[in-house]
Parts: sequence; structure tokens; C-alpha cells
Amino acid sequence: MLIDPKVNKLVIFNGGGGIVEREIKLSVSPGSNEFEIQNVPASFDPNSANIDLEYINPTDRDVITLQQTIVSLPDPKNVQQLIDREKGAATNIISYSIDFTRELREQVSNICEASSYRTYSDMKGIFNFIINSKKEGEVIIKTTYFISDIRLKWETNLQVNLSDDGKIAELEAYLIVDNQTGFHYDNVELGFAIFELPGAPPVTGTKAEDYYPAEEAEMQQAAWKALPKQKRTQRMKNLML
Amino acid sequence: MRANVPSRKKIKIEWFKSKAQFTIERKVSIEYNASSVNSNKINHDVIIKYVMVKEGEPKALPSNSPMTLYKRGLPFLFLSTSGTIGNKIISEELIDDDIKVDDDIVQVIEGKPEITFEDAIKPKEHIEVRTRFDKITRKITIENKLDNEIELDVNFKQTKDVTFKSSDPEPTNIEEPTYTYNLTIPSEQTKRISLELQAKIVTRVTKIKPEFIPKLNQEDK
Repeated sequence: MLIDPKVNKLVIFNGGGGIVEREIKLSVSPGSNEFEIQNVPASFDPNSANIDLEYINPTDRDVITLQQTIVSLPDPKNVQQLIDREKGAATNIISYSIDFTRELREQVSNICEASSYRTYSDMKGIFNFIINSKKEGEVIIKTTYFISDIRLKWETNLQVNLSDDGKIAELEAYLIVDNQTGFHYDNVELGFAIFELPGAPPVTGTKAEDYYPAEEAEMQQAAWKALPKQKRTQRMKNLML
Repeated sequence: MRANVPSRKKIKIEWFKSKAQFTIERKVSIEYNASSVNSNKINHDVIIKYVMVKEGEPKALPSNSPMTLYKRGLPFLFLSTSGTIGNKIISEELIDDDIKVDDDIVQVIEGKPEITFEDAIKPKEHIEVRTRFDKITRKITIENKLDNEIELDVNFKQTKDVTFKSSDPEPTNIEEPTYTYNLTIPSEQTKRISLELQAKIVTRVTKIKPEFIPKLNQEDK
């Protein structure tokens, strides 16, 4: 059965990625019950996928049990072909969109734009699980998994307003959440962690190649080396005063 | 906190607002080796960092987070954080281009060389080691180009080749091998430090041993 647990909590890492916590109440019937979680991004770490059962009726602990989870990621080669085809189709549609009415053209360009941004991580991963039950009943399912996607990250912005004597400052700090993935999270409890997933893109992994082609990575490295070792002050002169 | 995180969008959330004590730490580190102590002119960089001691509970900011300093409602410096320690938010270290530090040589009094010999690889050769102790005077001129008074720590660090003898003014604090001068420099003013140093200059030349030179000449004839 297809299920779409609500995302309750999203802990975002400043280095990209995060932990997703989802929850849903399920009805189970006697026997084996297989469920398929929808909207799991292909950027999820299958090894981190976890399911906890929370019993509404404490006596169900012995009769409703988790048999197993089944996780997998789509094949990168096939997905890339699909993405390339979609992008090609989108380009064709845009080139003929002159024939569309204005409203239709906007809708079409929105779809095409989404398609042009799509990467492997925007595709769907497989996260299924089987619950064995000896009777009909209800159980709350809590799932957690890591997502390894540098397009979901947070950073801070600190504004320091100095007093005239320069000894006291008023600090205003903002959290900026940047979600450039194809997934949205509505009314979620947000958490923020200073953390970088080990081996997370763009360092290694086949997925990294999807957002950072090899040439681009080389260019980035060259640019990094060309940067001066230490920055210099560039004070903006206030010409108004 | 609860929020909506839409796809392909950025959201901005207010995190905290608080007052903080603001201090500026400027320092310049001076250190010589046997070669650089004889340089006619050296320019040193003044390193500046901003430290804010926040009121209320500590907040951890990731390193390299952008921060902007505002004065009278206008931004005047863009930089990033280097880290947080408890309530302390510390900015990255920058080179302060508005403070110039020129280091010029004033005088060199060469010492009498002491000659010793060391074995060379070839048996007919030896290494002549000339060691002398030079007295070197250097003048460090610090110019404050800013429109406000600054405080600057000048740290002179001794090395194995160059040692401190005396200075004018005297160091504010001595913690061997570092001699610190806490200077206050008014706007558009300069301050000078004169350093008397002793440099150990060692030269090594491989030569043919004297007893082998005449023999060679005779054989040639």
C-alpha cells in the first residue's frame, strides 16, 4: 500500500543534507502488510533508513511487529537517460511555446524549468516495509532517514549594528534555509546542525557528478587555489556623512 | 521552530537579537631570520579581528558564516565568522590595509668573525665556518590611516639566529621569546619602535686544506 507519512521534523546540516522524521498512523490487518513510502528522495541514505513502531494500544506490542524494511536507490544510468530525455523534451516545448496562449506559456515554462533543474537526487528512492500482525489494529509509524544533498543547507547571516562609540553592538542573526531540491516540506519542525556528512557530495559519490560535472569540479578547485591565503579589509566608505 | 520549506526557494528566519560588547583586536607579528634581519625594508601586515561577547545564552555559529558590520545604519565591512567560543563570536582574521607597518634597517655593526673548521666530504678539503655576531638596529614605523584611535599589539619574537638586546620604547610585556608592545596610535599619527638586535651570521665555505695547496702547485710545475 502506498503511504505518504507527514514530515514532522527536518534537521538540516549546514554542510548540506539533513535528517527527515516522518510519521503516520496506519491500520493493519491480520497477516503480512507491505507499505511503500512515497516521496522519498533518491538522495536518502538507505543504510540510515529506520522505522519505529509506536503502539496506540500497549498490548499490541506482541501482535504487531515490524518484519523488515526494503530500501533501494534508482539506477543512476537509467535515471540520467530519463532526465536527459525530459530536458530535451522541455527544450522542444519551449521552442514551440510561441504558439501557446500567455497563461499556458507560463504554466509550460514552469514545468520546463522544474525539468531543467532536475537531478538524480530529485528522483524517488524506494523505502518499503512489512508489518506482521496477528489481528486488525492501528499503529503509529515513525520513520527517519538521512538525506545527502548539498542543495538543502542552511547558513546564518549576522548583522552587527555598532554604536557610535564602537564599544557596544546590537546583533541580529538570521537563519537562511536554502532548499534547491525538488522536495518541499510544509509546516515542519526545523532543526539546525553544524555538520557535514562524511563523504557527502561534492567530495565523492556518483550522485555528486550529477550536480558537479568533473570539469566544473576541476575549475572550482583551480579557483580555490587561486584565492589569496588571507582576505584584506575593504571598508565601505560612507560618502553620505 | 516550525516553518514551510518550499522547493527551489530560500527562506529567512529570525534567530536571535541581542546586545554584545564589541572589541577590535589588532596585532602585528615580527620575526627575523639571519637573512631577513639584514633586509633594507620589510612590510608587515597588521592582522585584525572583531570579538563580540554576546549577552544571554550562547549561540553557535558555523565558521565562515557571513557577517556585516553596520555603522549608523550603513554597512561598512563584510566579513565572516571564524567560530564561537561560548558567548564569544569571533570574526575571521583580516589584513588591515589602513594600518601600515614599515620596518627599515638603521645600522649594522658587524662583529669579529670567529673561524672554525669542519670536516668536508673529500679528505683534502675542509669547511671554513665563520661565525660573527652583528648588532643590528631596525626601526618599525606604524602609521594609522584611520579616522579613529587604534590599539595595536606588536609582538616581536626571537629566533635562534636573531635575539633581542634592547628597544625604545621598552616592551610592555616580556614572555620569552616574545616581546610585546601595546601601542595606542591616534588617528593619522605614527608611532615608532627602535629594536636593537643581535644576529648570529654563519657562513660556510669549503676550501682545500692549506697543506695540499703547495703540493698541487709543485706537481703542476
